[in-house]
Amino acid sequence: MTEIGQSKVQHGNPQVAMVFDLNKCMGCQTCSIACKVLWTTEPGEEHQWWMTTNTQPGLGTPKGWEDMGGGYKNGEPAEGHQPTRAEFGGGWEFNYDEVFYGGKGRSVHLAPKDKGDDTTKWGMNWDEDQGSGEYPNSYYFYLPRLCNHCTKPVCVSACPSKAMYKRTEDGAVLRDEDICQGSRFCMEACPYKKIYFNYVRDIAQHCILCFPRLEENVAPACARQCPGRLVFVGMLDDENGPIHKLVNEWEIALPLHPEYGTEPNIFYIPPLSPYRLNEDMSIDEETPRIPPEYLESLFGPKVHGAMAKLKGELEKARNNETSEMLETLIVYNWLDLFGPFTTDPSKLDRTPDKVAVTIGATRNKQN
Amino acid sequence: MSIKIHEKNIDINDLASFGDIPAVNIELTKIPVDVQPNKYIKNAYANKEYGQIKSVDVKLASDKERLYVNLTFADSEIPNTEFQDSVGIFFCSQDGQSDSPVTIGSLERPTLLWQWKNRTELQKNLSQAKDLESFGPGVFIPNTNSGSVEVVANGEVVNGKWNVIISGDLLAVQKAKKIGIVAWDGSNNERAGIGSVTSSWIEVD
Repeated sequence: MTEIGQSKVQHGNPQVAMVFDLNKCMGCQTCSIACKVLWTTEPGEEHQWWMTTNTQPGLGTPKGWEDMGGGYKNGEPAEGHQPTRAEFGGGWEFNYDEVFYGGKGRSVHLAPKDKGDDTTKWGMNWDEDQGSGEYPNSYYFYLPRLCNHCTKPVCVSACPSKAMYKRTEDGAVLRDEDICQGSRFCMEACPYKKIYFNYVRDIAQHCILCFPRLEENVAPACARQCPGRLVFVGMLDDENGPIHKLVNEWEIALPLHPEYGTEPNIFYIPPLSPYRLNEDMSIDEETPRIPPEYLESLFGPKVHGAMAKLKGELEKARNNETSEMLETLIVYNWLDLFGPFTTDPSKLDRTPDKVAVTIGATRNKQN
Repeated sequence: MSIKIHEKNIDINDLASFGDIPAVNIELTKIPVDVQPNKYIKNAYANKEYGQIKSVDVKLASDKERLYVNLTFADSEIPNTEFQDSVGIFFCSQDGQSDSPVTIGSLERPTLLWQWKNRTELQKNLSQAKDLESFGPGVFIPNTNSGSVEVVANGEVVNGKWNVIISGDLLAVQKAKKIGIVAWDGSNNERAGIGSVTSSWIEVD
């Protein structure tokens, strides 16, 4: 216990990374649901969505998270806002009794119960499909978000009890819930605001990168359940894997808000969009409908190069040339998405004795 | 500053059971920002007002097995939202007699900390007591060396003042001989090292 209160973050350790191809995301929320039913069904977790998919542009989850500070500025941890329960919203109780059994089925509509805490005024996908722009050039796209399992996790650095740590074997940013004192500096410091507070257990909680699945070579639930085949999972330094090519070689997969300084390990293929229409409804082939400056605000200045490369590869394909990049992004074989994590979870030994051993081993590893 | 331990049977659930044992008023001071355990907290709280609980009335009693600590302090009129009010007693480690109590222990010389934490309606199944080791301000982890005497606590607001009883093994104070007090005003988002503390050790008779 000599390092309590100190960050033990190291570069160069193995790192599991993910790439989300935003050109394929249809906002179906299957990733969100897959995570929800697996990890956040206990009391105090009702409002927790470790995986969220939001319509962009939008205020997101929690409401206005991009203006809440945190991360690093000039190499120093920067002050951040701790998102409130109301800013996350959701976790509602509905008036089922009143509507279905109270004899008011024709006069009362199903609705969240208002507890006076403003939690019914926002939710994880509140501004769905609102987007931006004026018809006929309105636009939107979807942005799935989870903990970025950053290489420089400011949440870990901010935790006074060292309940949080970055696992050396796969780079997952985890929390020892037995040590967490609920002080929530992690929530303040995280610039992505992907840490939730469990008001029942008095601890913070966040995405665990499905580490018990990774240990069995099973891909995280959000990735494996994605019907759009858009989520790559693998080791960032595997030079033969798609993640390394997309991120490091082709540089078309970019971290969200790189200016936050935490070096995320979740990456995004930025969204292409239709061309703008002129007033006479002719096509303006020079101008994408999603403003490049907006994409730059999300993914940094490298987004312009990434978009140019994507368009160049599309042009190659249209000219009947082979594009390894597009072949990779198409994902002809579903399991190619998951690198070393291709085990079918339904084939795992889940007998009670085996589960007990796994849980015990996991607990020991965490501690 | 010293406090006497009075011999008396105390019922943890009877907040009036300290009776007419005289209270000692202990002044508290803001835990300095420069002793906070990491850069984030130092940067983010450098210019924030905290340490709102300025003093605590303390009574000590014992039944020869347990130490009972009665702590009363003013409850803020500002409603608690995210954080709850809390108070704790910590014990000077035997090799830390020359350390300042404002750090509530250190990595080299941790101190035992018994914390009472107000619980919300949602948290009614959680204990109000925490038995912790403190390695510095907010550097708290569960005490894995607890003996057979469990740390327990109870508290409620009476006439705008928190009235709290914390109890644990009498051996803790018999070994330490000196104690410190730490308090957090939850309505001011105080927790961990963001709180107020005794600036000098309190001798226990």
